[in-house]
Amino acid sequence: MAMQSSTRSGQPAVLGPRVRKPRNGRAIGDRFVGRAIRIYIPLLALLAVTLFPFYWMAITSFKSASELFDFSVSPLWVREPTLFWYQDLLTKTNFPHWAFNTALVAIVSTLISLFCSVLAGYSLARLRYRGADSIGWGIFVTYLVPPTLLFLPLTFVIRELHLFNNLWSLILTYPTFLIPFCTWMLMGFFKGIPRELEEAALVDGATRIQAMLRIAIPLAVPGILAAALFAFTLSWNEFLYSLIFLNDSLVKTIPVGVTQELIHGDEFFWGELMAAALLGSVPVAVLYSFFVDYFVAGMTAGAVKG
Amino acid sequence: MAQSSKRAKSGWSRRKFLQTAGVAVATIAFPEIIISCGPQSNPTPAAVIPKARKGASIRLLQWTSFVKQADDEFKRQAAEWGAANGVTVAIETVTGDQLQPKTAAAVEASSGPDIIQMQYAWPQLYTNSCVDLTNDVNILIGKLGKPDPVNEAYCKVDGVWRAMPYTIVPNAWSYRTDYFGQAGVSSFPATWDEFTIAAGKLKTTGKPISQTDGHAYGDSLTMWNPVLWGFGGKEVNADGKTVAINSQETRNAIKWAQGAVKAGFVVHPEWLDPDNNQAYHADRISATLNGASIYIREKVEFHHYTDVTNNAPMPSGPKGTFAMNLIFNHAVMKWSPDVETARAMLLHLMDKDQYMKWTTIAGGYNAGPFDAFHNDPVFTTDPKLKAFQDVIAPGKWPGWPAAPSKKTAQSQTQFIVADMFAKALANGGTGDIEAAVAAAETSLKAIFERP
Repeated sequence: MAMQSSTRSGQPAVLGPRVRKPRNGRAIGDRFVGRAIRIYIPLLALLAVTLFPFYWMAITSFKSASELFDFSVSPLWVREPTLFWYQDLLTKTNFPHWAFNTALVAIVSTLISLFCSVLAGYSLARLRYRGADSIGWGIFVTYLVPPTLLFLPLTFVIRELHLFNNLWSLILTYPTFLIPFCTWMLMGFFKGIPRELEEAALVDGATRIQAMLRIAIPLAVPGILAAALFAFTLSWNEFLYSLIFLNDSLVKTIPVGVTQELIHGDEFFWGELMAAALLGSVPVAVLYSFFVDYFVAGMTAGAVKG
Repeated sequence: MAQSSKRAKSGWSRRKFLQTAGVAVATIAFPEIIISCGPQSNPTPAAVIPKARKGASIRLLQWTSFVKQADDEFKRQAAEWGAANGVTVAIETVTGDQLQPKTAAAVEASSGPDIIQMQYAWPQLYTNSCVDLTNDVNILIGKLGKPDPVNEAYCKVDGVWRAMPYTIVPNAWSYRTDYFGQAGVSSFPATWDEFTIAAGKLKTTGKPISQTDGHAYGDSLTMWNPVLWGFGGKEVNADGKTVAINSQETRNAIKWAQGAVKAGFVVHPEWLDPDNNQAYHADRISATLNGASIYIREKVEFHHYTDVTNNAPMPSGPKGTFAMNLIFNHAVMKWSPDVETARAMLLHLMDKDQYMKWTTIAGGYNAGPFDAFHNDPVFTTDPKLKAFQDVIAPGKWPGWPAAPSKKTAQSQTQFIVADMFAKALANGGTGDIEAAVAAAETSLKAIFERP
């Protein structure tokens, strides 16, 4: 809404973005063409770019073997849809096991990471102890160390713990990159909550723990959910540690199981691969659709100080 | 007195000297006579057959073969042997790209599979983690004859067999006889110059001869190294130290490649190993260099172009015919608590009857690495597969004529030769040859001339 003030001549002056008015008195920006140019066309372009991979996965997974390699017709449509690849995937591979393993690892490692991150994030944001800032930066830098450097020393650790070929190897190693990330994210969120609210609770006789549990954490729920979404997604898609630490087909996760059992030498079995990719992305998509508001709130935490 | 005193000190008489010298000369001149006279007439004099320990557990890690049924047969044989010997056997298969990090992690942790498939020069990379298998390979040599020289070069490190030869995945040209016929090319080119002419003619059909010059794990290396060798070029001298890429021979190879591309040979820097398979199955190209997977999948699964597909060996260059194939071997790892059981299992899997059952199911995708497998009927039952047998003999390894080493492995991993060709073949084959050679030389010197 434009702010108005009076000029010397007494005419109202428009402050803010100038909108040229046509003769009929309506701003061009408000007409359908204007809205289409400003909003709908960019939105459609964005949707096309982001949704096309899913569309491609979906149509490829419904194509027959002969249609997959038939370039004489448009590859953007399915002529004779078939569920053959889904049937093959669900009955001839261990995909159901991989999906269960992936979900289990993602949920448990997310919960562990959130528990640690909430405590760490709150303490770093609220408690004034020596070195808190340095520790905060240290956690952030830890997150920047790429897994390709970490997997070799972690292999040694997993060997010492006798956890090879065990889902616990992932549940315990995923927090190495999830905790720094979630802690850093939650630190910003806790800093955005007015300190006075907790101080009032402390004055009223609450302990620090009670102030955290009853004041800070309920207010930080959007941030915690956003961190949980990030952590779940990162765990769900993780590849390298899963590749290194797991051996048997029955204990593999989706990203590794799919590539190891549906790629033979230099031949890719695209129908099953795309069916697996689509089924594998559904849980994450559902989660995002439910919690998108929290996710956006978490992303923009601390952007505006009130 | 003085002379006899000297003889006594040295312990040498004229007669003894002549005897010793005579034996030495005869040994050098006619080694087979000496060998056949002594206890060494048996090629495995001190060979001790390893025995499986009942109750042991063996895990083997290798790549997922293109032929799923062949993987299943391999697992069946291993399980059968395990059941007969009271050994629990687990076979884990991963993609070729995934095998490297898994192996590196296992070596770093000194823990993991008891047996790991070694691809190319990995025995040179992981020598200290690989058990000496000389005894076991000698047993195989006694039964199966000479090993393939490329497998031997990779498996033997400083005279010690650090891996057991396992298989060769031969790479030959799969091509469409119908498009070649339309273009007036009666057979697949026998020389690289004929290849250029054929590529020009095939271009008119709209289905070009195509290959990757990118970072394809198999197809790029198997294409551009043989081209380099065919024109006399090489990365490094036989000493493994002196970089030799900056030569007229290398320039001749690149000039040929540029001429072929200008004529109509299409190179794809963006292609990885599956891409030429897909392009062929999708009827977009008329020929490409690959393992037998293209032909086998057409024959077994798609049936679209089986009748109009044939296979041909590598064309020759001015310096001869060269090929490069995928070479896989098995190493028993030192951290295994059951090394002897692992050795026994490998010997069983390499038994001729067992092995030929496996290659029969692999349908020509795999070839055996010993003399005894050279007449494998799988390559004669279907005459179209003979090309894959023909590329085994001229096979070499990246870095040849230098022996495989950590440095040749590094050069291979960095795709230096393929990148050199790719630079020169950019923009329709008009790249700067001198810049391409200079860049390759700099990269190779950083590897081979480093102390």
